Amino acid sequence: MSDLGEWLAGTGPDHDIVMSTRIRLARNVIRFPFLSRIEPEAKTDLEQFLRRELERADLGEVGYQNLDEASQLDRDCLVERHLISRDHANGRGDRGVALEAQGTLSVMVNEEDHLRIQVLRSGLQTSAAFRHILDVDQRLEARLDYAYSPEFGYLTACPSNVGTGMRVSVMLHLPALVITKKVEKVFNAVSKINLAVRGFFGEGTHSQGDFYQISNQITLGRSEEEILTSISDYVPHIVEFERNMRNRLLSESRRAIEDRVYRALGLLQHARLISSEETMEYLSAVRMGVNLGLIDWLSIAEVNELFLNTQPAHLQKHCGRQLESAERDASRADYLRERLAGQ
Amino acid sequence: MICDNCDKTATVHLTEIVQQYKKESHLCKDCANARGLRIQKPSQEQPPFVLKEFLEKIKPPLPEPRRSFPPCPECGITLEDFQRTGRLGCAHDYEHMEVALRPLLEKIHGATQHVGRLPLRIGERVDAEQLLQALERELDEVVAREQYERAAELRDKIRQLREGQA
Repeated sequence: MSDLGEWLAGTGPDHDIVMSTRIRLARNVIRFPFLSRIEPEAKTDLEQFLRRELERADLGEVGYQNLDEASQLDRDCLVERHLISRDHANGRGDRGVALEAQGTLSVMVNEEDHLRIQVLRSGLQTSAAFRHILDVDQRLEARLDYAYSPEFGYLTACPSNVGTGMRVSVMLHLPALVITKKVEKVFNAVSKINLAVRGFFGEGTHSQGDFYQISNQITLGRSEEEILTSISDYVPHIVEFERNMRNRLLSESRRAIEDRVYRALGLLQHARLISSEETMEYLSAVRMGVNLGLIDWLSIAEVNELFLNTQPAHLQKHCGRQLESAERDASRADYLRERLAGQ
Repeated sequence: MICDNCDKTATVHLTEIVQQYKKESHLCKDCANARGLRIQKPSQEQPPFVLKEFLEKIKPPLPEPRRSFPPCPECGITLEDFQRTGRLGCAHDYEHMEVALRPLLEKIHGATQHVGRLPLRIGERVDAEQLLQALERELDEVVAREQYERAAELRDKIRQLREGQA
């Protein structure tokens, strides 16, 4: 449990609906080409150079892992914890990640950009996350010459990140808006103010377990503060909308909501084979049930832990061996039965 | 519809206003001819000759805006490479392909000028005047937001740059 990381603890503001706040900064250093044009030797040099600077930058209790030397399973676990991207896990050559013990800070080296600095916080904490990442960025900036132009700002491999290089994403759990079919309405409104909606694992992924990520699309021509405000002003409206819908469901169709929550719980408690998608779906209903006070013997932190530990890589870690897909469905069901037994 | 005069199919439909009354007749081609109605086919008439339009048509096409660039001298990437992968090869590409990138940035971000933070270690590498402008922009912003610590840093940097210029 203590190993989960702050962002899964389910403690931050509005954590019943906002799972986490994430900010990332894309940075490149001068004298090295971007990753798409770098030779393998230069890539190795760059990784060693950045690793050394990260270690010297006094970023707190931070460990560094070269991902080319890590096992596929370890890499997948980091993806499941949202500490590295899927592309970074599956990439090639010398690349790595600096991780802070609490799981709130990760710095990817040699991903799409030389550095991808990321801070993750539980609940809606845009300001706290920004203060943290700004501190990390300034410590690195004191040692590194970032690629920058006064006109285009921080220069990035993809022009969609240029300028501030900053992406703020908030992960929202919106089961009531999904049930009442209001979620489309929210997303149409969101896209009109230049915010993007993505699935559970970010860009190019679909929604799982009623989780959606909302993030800024624009990085150039707006200051960091303006970008933060666009998110922190808008997200509370969605939170309020979800909360109202939950309350309305409870007052107008309590029996139907209880049925949905307890059926989901029953399936998780008794299934003998269960896929990760199915687990996400039922855990989503259980998570809502906990937040509505329908289930009082589980905490949000425990539900978050179940979300994480039933993902394929974490499950295999838990079992201590590699598992085929069918074996995983059996092990997942066993794990859930054991964790949810006796109630 | 049958002709008003005979029982052939009516192909001419005439609407007349006679002393404020609307009168409709439906005639076959022969009866219409017999009444002296001349049917004008539309679009056969040539439009009048307008010299300006004529010249417009024979004008040689404008040269295509320059879409191709030599490969970037620093990383070797071409515009076509970028268009295929969506990824630039080095920081210099923003200068090298600026003409092609500007419309793209405008489309993605609705802007082409950075506002916001800048690293304080870049003085030696960029045009001092541009840098001063960027620093002053950020200074205005942080003062408006009452972030005085950052404002002090920026003022120091601006002073330092001005002294360097003088």
